[in-house]
Amino acid sequence: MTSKFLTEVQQKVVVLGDFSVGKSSLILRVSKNEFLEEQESTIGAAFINFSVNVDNKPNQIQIWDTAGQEKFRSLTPIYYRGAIGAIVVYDVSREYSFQTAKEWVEELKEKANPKLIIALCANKIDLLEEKKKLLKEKEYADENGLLIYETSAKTGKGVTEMFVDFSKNLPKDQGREIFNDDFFEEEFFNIELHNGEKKTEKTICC
Amino acid sequence: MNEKNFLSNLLTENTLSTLLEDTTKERFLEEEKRFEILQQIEGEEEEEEEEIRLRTEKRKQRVLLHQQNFNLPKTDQKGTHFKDKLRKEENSFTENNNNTNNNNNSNNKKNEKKENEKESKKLSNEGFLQLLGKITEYKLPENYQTKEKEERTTKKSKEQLEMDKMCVFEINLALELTEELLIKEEKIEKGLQNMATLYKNKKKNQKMASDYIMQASVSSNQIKLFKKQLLRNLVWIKFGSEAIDSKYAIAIDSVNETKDSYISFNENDLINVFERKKGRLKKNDWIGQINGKTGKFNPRHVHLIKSKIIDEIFDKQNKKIKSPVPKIPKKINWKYLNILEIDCEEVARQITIREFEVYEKLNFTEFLQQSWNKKKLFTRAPNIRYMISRFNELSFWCCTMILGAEKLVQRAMAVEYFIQFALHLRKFNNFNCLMAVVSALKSNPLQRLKHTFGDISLESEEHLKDLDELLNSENAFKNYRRALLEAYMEGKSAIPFIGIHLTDLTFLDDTSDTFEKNGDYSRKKMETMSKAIMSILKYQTRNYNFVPILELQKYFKDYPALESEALYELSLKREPRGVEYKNLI
Repeated sequence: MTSKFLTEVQQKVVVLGDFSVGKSSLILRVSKNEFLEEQESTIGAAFINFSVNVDNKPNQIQIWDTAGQEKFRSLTPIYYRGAIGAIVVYDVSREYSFQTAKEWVEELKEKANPKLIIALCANKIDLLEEKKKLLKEKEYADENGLLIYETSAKTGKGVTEMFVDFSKNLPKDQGREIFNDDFFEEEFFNIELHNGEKKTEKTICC
Repeated sequence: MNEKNFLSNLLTENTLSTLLEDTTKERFLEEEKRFEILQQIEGEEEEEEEEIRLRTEKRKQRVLLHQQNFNLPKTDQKGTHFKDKLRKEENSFTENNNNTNNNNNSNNKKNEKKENEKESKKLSNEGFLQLLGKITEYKLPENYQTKEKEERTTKKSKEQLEMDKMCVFEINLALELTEELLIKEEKIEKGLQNMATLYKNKKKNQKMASDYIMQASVSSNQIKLFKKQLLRNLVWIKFGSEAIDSKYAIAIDSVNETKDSYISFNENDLINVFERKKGRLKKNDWIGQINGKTGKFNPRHVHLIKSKIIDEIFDKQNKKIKSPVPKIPKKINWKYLNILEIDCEEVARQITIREFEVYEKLNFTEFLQQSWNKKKLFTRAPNIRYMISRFNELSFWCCTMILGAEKLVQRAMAVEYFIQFALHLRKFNNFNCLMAVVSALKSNPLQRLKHTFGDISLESEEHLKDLDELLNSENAFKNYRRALLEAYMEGKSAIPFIGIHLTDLTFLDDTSDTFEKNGDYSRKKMETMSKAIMSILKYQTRNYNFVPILELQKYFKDYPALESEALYELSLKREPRGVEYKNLI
């Protein structure tokens, strides 16, 4: 576990994409499966915090999800304003979702922070029966300088690897320092993720 | 033909314009009258506090009367009212008391004070007897036959009549007591709310305070119900059941009858009443229908709907909330309306009225199964989707209003106008529109105008920072959620911003499975989902008390706005890339 009074660097990452592409399920796969010792089990209803050791330094990453809010078009610029990295998700089984992903990338390049690091994530790979090689997408990624990952949230293939690899590619200078202690004060705003089994240990203070 | 058409067109346009002007003038005159009346009412309400102080003294006097009046003088057969006599006696009694007190203390006190006391007591008497007066002055319907009246009066024995009088007397005393109890409980609620605001940073105290507030509100509701029952009994004794014109009744209690001739029903059931009788004995039970069954039932377990007397009394008691006076300049061109000329507070009010109408229609079932995002289930959630589309239109409308101005000074003025507008929205707890306006000010086409935002005054810049902190996305919108809870604790009306709650619902729906291993519904999920949904819908009962203005309501039915790409091009026109400040002026 992380020690209490250690300063960490917090970095903001946004997950964007068309609706019902699997953004929230990707994040849930990350949060439920134990892939790192430092992983925290709480979700603040809208985003997840997890810390990765990069060169023996704790590096906290805040992943934002716009789940349920895709229709609020005028709200999305607020999400990607202070972000350092962005993951654009699209569905392999639907071609239309790739076009929306292209629009997202163009908008991010025009209007967002020019130092933003963008990744393309091809989700739901288990639905492809014949293993097609994603040639078009890879060409598009090479032209625009994007990272590309192949995942499936259902089977859990390549999900954790994507997040770890993406966090290593982020610039280490940017972000803001925080104390780890002040996070998640109140129970009301948090929703705990457990599979039915809940720890009912009461802590007594004073 | 052309000339004729031209002339007719001219005529119609002129007449229309004149008509419009006339209607607006008339409307304004009416509104001014209404405001004068409202101001008069405000003056009257300030006097009510004095009545409350004097009410306790009066009650003591009434208790004394109660002790004396066991040997009440019998009423005449002609029907001179018992209460009129009682009133006269009361007044004489109080006056006598005052005189005696005055005589004793005349040496010590000045005369002016005594006169004041007298006046105040008279006023309080008048205010107190409003209830009784309304009941006595109630006119019976014309169909009410006079013969039956006489028969009934003859049928009643003298003992019964005396008992009725005593009942009326006691019920009035009980009504006073209930009013005092209500005032006390309101005070308790306020104190607890203050406690909650003081200790809002600590978890435990906040929870305790919220529990107490819930208990207090429940008990106050019970007292109100008791008061209604008392009033019903009063009406019952005075006029009998037939004086009330109604056909339906609501069940207060749940009753299970074993006999076949009787009906059994649950709470809040609607009963279709066929026959009503007078008296409380078992012979005189009512006859009604529920779920196709007809039978007798006891009218004690039932409350009648549409009883005119009770509704009138309660409406006048509950109209304590004032509606604010609309701010509109008297000379305005409604045809070519420029919104920026109207006061931003008034615009905020009109938008909140319109938005609350949309928010009020949201239904519990629309939030289930993420139906606002799935194409198959669009028909399930029409109201949510309409609210979202209105949100987007509002933010684009703000952008167009700001970018519509060609000069730099005008644009800066428009930005300041919208910041003040947002502050008023915060005051009314209309978070949905607030989020739209702030997101418009933070959107891409406006954020790149650095020269216009440089011309804003420092105060409005700080206000924008404060609003940005309130709607900040850190810690899962902690500040926003706290502000919403505070509005609920203080009893204010509010409109929540749906988007945040929708993300909560999607995560809740995805994380836990709907079915357990046994095949049953998982109760945990249902409870958490219902909590999350009720946190959105619990503000639907609290209406805003603003006066709607028709022209503005029409204007805000559809926001006239450009689309996002056109807005970005327009902003590039207004301030091209790399332009210096000198060239813009």
